[in-house]
Amino acid sequence: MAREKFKTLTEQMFYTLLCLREVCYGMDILDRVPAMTNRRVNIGSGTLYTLLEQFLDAEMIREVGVEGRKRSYILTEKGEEMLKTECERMAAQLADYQRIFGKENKK
Amino acid sequence: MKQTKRSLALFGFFDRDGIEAWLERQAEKGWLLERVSELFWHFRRIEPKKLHFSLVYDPNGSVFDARPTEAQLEFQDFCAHTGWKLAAFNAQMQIYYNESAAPTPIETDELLELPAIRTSIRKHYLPMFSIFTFDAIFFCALFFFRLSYDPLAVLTNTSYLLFGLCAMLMLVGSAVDLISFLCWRRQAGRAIGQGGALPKTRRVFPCRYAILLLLLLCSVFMLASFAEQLHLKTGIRFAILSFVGMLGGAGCIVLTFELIKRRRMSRRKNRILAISLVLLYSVGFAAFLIGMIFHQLPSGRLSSTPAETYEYRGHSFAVYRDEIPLTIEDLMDPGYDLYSYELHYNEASVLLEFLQAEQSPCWDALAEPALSYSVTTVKLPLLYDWCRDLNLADISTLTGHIRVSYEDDPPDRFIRVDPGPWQANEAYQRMFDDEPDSWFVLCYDERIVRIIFDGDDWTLNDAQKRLVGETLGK
Repeated sequence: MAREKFKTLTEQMFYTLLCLREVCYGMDILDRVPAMTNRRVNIGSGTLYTLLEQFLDAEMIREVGVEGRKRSYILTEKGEEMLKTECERMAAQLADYQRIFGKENKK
Repeated sequence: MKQTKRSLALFGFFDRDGIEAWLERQAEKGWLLERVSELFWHFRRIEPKKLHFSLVYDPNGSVFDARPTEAQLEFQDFCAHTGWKLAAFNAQMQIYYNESAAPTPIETDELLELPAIRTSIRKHYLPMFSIFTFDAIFFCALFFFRLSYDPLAVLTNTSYLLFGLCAMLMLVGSAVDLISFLCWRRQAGRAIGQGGALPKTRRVFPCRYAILLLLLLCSVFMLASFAEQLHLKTGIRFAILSFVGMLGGAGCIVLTFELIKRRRMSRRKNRILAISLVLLYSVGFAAFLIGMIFHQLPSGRLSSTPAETYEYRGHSFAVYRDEIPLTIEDLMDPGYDLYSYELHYNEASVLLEFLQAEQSPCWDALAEPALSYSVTTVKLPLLYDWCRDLNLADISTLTGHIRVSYEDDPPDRFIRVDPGPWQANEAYQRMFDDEPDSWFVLCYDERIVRIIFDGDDWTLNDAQKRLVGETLGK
């Protein structure tokens, strides 16, 4: 079954939004995400371009400046809320894991 | 040393993996893609090296773009940031290359990539595919309609057979592309739904090369055969000229469109020019078809020039002196010498040969003996029974060119008779009003002879029957 758009975030979506907590040029995200994740997560230039368009359409980010063909963005309140919801979901997953495996480890 | 080259690459539009692998092999041989035109892929000479290629589909691209749009330039900047340089673009297709040993792919999320591919194909590939398929279906319908109406005329004519083969090849080509794409799309949707990667695209280009080669071969043979028959059947000439005109016109449109794009005008101007060109061609082609219909089709009969003419009751009639394989004089002395010898039809293809001839007296001597016959030579044994049934069927003549039918006529009924005197394998005689008639269908190893003896009190003896068999059946 197809995944519902932005109901959950992929790692690439998550880190792209995380980068935009402060004003950032789109293409700088291409360097920041690998640096932030110790190269565990790489994001393709085409994928990032599409993601930024979709985040803009969903008003999760907004454009704050243009320099030549370079555009800078920042997270909106809606984007922050999305990140927070995702973090809570992941925290809940982690808690469930610890509850199950924590009991087994105590045995 | 040659610094540039161009190649004809018949990849399916969505065959991304095939295109990327082919371009990588070209780079290893020292050729880098620099432009994709409507017909060819253009390369320039480089140092042979290992390059990675990536084909990206941009749903907002257009076949009318002569240069990248602002959005495409911004996309190129993103790609350049990770080492991907634009090699070429055409319509929704953008091709990048990267010199790094292990570059980050341009697309790293299949869930975002698949909709772009689907949209691009829907906008670009499917309209073109629909036009091509419509043409193929139209030509196939034309061929099969004629085949059902006048099978012998079609099966004995090489040009027409090749025309049908071309039409069917076009249809097969369309079907291969469509089925291949639909299968890939279904697999891709399923894979993405399960969180997997996009499946490899199917390689359809070997099939496309084979079809193109066959189409070219057919076209060459068709034109050669057509040139031989240019003075003959105008109905076939009409069909073949239509086909050639359509392909030639399409080629001219593609070439002119290519020239228009080189002027690097805007998408809007290119679109207007291209549409005008297509309209102009369509009007010209329609005028050609109408011209052919009105000026060529009425004279569709094979005929030699009359040797002389005579008047009978105020009407003028022609007398022919064609060479025909069997005459009344071969069988007996008719005591009459004003016969017309006419070869109505004489055609051969790799499947069948068909000859139809007639020897008839003048209108003022209808009581004199007359002879008419057809000889079907079956080169493909599979068709033998069908041809025999056709000869025994209820038709006055066997080809639509000279077909005469009377709706009130009772159906022909043939009975089996002794084939021995005819030296045939099977012999049939027509019954007319429950009486044996002088119409015979004689089956030999490869030939089927349908012969009609007309005239008062003309009954063939065994020697004459043997001569018919030796002359027409062997």
